[in-house]
Amino acid sequence: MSDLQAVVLFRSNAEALMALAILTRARVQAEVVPSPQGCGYSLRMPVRVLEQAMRLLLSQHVPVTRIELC
Amino acid sequence: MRVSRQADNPPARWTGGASSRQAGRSPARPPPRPWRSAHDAGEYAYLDHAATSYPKPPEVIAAMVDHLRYAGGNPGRSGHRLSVAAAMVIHEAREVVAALFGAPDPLRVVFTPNVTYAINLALNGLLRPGDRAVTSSMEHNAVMRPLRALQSLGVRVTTVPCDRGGALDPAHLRAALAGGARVVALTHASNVTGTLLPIAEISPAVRSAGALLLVDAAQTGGLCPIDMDALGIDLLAFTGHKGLQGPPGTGGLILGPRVNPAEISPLVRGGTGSQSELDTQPEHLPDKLESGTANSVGLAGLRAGVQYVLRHGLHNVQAHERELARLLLDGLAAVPGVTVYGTRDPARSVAVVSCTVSGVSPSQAAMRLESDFGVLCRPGLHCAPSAHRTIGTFPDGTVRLSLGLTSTEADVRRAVSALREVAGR
Repeated sequence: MSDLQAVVLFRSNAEALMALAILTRARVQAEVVPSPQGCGYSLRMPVRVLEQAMRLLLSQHVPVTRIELC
Repeated sequence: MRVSRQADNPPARWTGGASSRQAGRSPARPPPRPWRSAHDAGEYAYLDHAATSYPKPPEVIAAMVDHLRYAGGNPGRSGHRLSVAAAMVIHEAREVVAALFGAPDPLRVVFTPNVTYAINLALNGLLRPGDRAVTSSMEHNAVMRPLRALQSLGVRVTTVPCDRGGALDPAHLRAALAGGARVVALTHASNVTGTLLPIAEISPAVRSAGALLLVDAAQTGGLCPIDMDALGIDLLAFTGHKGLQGPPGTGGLILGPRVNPAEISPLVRGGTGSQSELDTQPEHLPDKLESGTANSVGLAGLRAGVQYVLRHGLHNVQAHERELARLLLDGLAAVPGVTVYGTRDPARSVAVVSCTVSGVSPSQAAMRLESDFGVLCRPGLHCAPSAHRTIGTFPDGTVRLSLGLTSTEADVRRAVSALREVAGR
């Protein structure tokens, strides 16, 4: 069974890419996907790394607006 | 209606002055071809780095070509790989610029088309009628013109005079702050004399007055170490195409932690690729102050340029330029008829030297320097009439020689020798 995925939404593409850079440096699995509104980026990641990712982003003051499961 | 195509109107070809030869006159000189290795071949000496750095590092050119070839999507708009690739380049450019200037948050690096736009963004974005701005008499028109326009709208502007060498006395600036201020706008180094202004000495007074310090780093970015926090700079305006070795069309404004983004209005509002469900401008940075498609290919070049500078080391760049500036100043000091303006101490300036030649206008001197000696420089007022009034060279201006990363001792000796000839007539 494949991992349950989460899509994390941000206020802006700049923040989404900042988040990607933070997670990549911490070796947390995440990839850029189109935002649900079709304009800009969100990050998709396995739910199992979601808590680690959120802790990292909060510590770096990168705000998250919404998390969707897919 | 017939629409002409390029094939119908082929570009004009230079015929080597064939028509003039046929008339029995001397052949015309070919147009310059700077995209050859003419600079490296010594065909000319480029001493106009204060206008723009040249030639650009090969890494910068390669980064821009590669970007157009392999990452040519619209950054931050679509979600496909080409869009993401372009957006990642911009993000990396933010990170390296933030690292270069000691800014802790890359998201507070706002990219603009040039440093003039960045300065306008800061001044027009922050100042309201009734506010007070303080500046110096050595500023470029990128600072003076928006301040004069804001003055006509009710902003009070105080200009602190600098001395004949272009130096600002910190005591005079502190005295000017006694009445309080919203923004203090200062150049880090004059584009006319190269004189460094005492930013570190005056920033505590600016902070005590409750003002924000805006620094125009057009002539210092990439040429000397700048740490926004250590220097007490609240807003840093930079250009990409001078010391940072990037292409024209790049620059930016970095907002320090004391700047509240809610208090700065954007110059342009429009699409940001974010919060598209709203028809109002986002309030978060950098999107609030960046609308429209970014100059991603330019920022690819800027990223490469900043990385190039960081690999060389700012202290090495500064030492290189100071050494050449010393050589230039010593050489010019020995030429009768040449007057040098500004400080003679390379430690108190960047490698920008203004001079005049007795009996020869700056524009005529500059034309002779190029036509007879292959020395490229800039004459006139350098978009800084206030600075020239301060040093006493208004309205004719000066001949400005400015050195850069690619300048050599041979360039400097060529310039000194050429000026000696021009002065000797």
